[in-house]
Amino acid sequence: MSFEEFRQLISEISKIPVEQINKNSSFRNDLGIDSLQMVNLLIEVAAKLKLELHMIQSRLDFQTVGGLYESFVKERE
Amino acid sequence: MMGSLYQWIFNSENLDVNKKVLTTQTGDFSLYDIQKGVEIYISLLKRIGAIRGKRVALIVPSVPSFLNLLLAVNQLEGIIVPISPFLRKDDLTKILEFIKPHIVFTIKQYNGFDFSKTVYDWAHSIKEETVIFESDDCLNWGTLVVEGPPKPVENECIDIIGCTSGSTGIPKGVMVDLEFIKFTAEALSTSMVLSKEDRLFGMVPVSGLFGLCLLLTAIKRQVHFVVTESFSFPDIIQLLKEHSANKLVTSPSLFRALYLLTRDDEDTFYKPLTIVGLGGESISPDFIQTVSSIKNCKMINMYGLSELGCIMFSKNDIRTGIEWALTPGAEINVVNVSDEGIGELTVKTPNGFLGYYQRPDLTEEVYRNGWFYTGDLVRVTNGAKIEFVGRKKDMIKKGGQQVIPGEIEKLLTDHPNVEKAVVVGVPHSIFGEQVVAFVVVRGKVDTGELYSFCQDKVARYKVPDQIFIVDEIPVSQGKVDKVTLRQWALEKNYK
Repeated sequence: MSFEEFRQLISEISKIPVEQINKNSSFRNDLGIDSLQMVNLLIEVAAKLKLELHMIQSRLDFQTVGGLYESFVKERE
Repeated sequence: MMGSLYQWIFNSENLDVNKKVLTTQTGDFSLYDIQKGVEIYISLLKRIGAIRGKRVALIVPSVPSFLNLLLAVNQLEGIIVPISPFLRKDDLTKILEFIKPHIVFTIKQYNGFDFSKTVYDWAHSIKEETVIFESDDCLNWGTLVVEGPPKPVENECIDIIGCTSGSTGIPKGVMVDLEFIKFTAEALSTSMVLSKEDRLFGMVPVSGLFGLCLLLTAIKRQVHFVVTESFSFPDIIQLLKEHSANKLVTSPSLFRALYLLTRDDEDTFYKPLTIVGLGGESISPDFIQTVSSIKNCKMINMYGLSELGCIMFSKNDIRTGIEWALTPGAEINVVNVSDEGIGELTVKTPNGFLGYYQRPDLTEEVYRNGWFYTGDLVRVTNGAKIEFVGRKKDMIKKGGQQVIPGEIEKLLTDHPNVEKAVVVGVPHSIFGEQVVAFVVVRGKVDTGELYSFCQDKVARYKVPDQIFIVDEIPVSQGKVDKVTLRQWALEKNYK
């Protein structure tokens, strides 16, 4: 999954316009995503990437969009 | 009698002032630390003169500071109005306009939102005297006085006003006193079997009446209460990892999310647990299935209302079926029972709320002769078993928080292109219920713009999870047909 695709996916799930979502956007402060929305988002992304969320949770970066993307990509490798 | 929360908590027998009773992301606090904290706030408040009968709004996400302030304000006979730090410009301003606090303690910025600015803008707009305390860290407070004629003080004996969004766009304030808190403390202690040896983990916002009562109960009982200030899961998980708890209180959806993220580490998170208390939402079969593998821990459901506190709890583990027990002093009844045996649940306690703030009409509507009409529809089976089947009022319960459809419908119709909006709650695996809006529009507008329009105006959890543009809203017998709309939402959703 490219970052562009990842960004699209986040936009689809969170209903935030894709142009507002950048690598360094903070989920909480910039995108205003709350805790359950974040879990919902993680579950959807993990399902798309065929990863078990509870196995990788402790290694994921929840802070920024870019950070989460990098940590998911690393898990898949 | 007002102003005696402090005495209630600290005039206990066998008070061990050095016992650690509160842990949050801010740190650890003993009863002694809390006493010292309260003294500091009392002297800070005394500098601005008497606060008796004055409404003091607290937008304070740090739980120890919130607790200290609450006890200090109460000691000086001020009225505490806790306000959620998750609100945004529109819903916050509406609450400020409704409550008209004399004094506001606010964090300057939180989760990227400028609270100070919204509070200033409101205070300047009403042109009455308001004292604003603001802080970056909820420890060091700067004072600012907005000049104007003073607001009248309350003469009634109110200790706390808990705020919720009302259905017509005007918030509701639930007025309670110490007797109400004592009743809820007894109910919580009974259902969670609290003792001094417990470590209780809370994933509950303390700015709500339930969370606030849980906090005061835990401190009063000298339980070690570990409560999260952040609702970001890595922060919650870290706190629970560092302070593994034998009891836990939260909503079903938050517990389910926690479990989905941490279930590979059963030993750290779930083995120490003996009782999990769940409230704020109903328990779905999906929930039961998810948590079926958690062993040796009793999961109970708590049923309560902001207005009356905790009324019932499930006697047995919810995974074996729900059978309710009343909390000490609570009575229930079912009225207007239909042919199918379904009626409205009414409840009575020795110490319910004092009424809705400035709305005696609304109070009269739902609280008559000591009986509160809950709006919850129940079926009574086998004598005493009660089964919840729905709600008379169409409130949405999302993640343990309440979303009032009317508030969001009004917000959407504030958009120039929205002619009509109807909001319904639809079951969702993570949120419990999600907020789904159907809108009829005029001119050209897409849903993306409508999502953005709602984004910064209200707390994030109230923003619709789905918005659908439709040609017309279905009507049945002259009323909006929400049953059909829920059906549409389920069909249109991929889950």
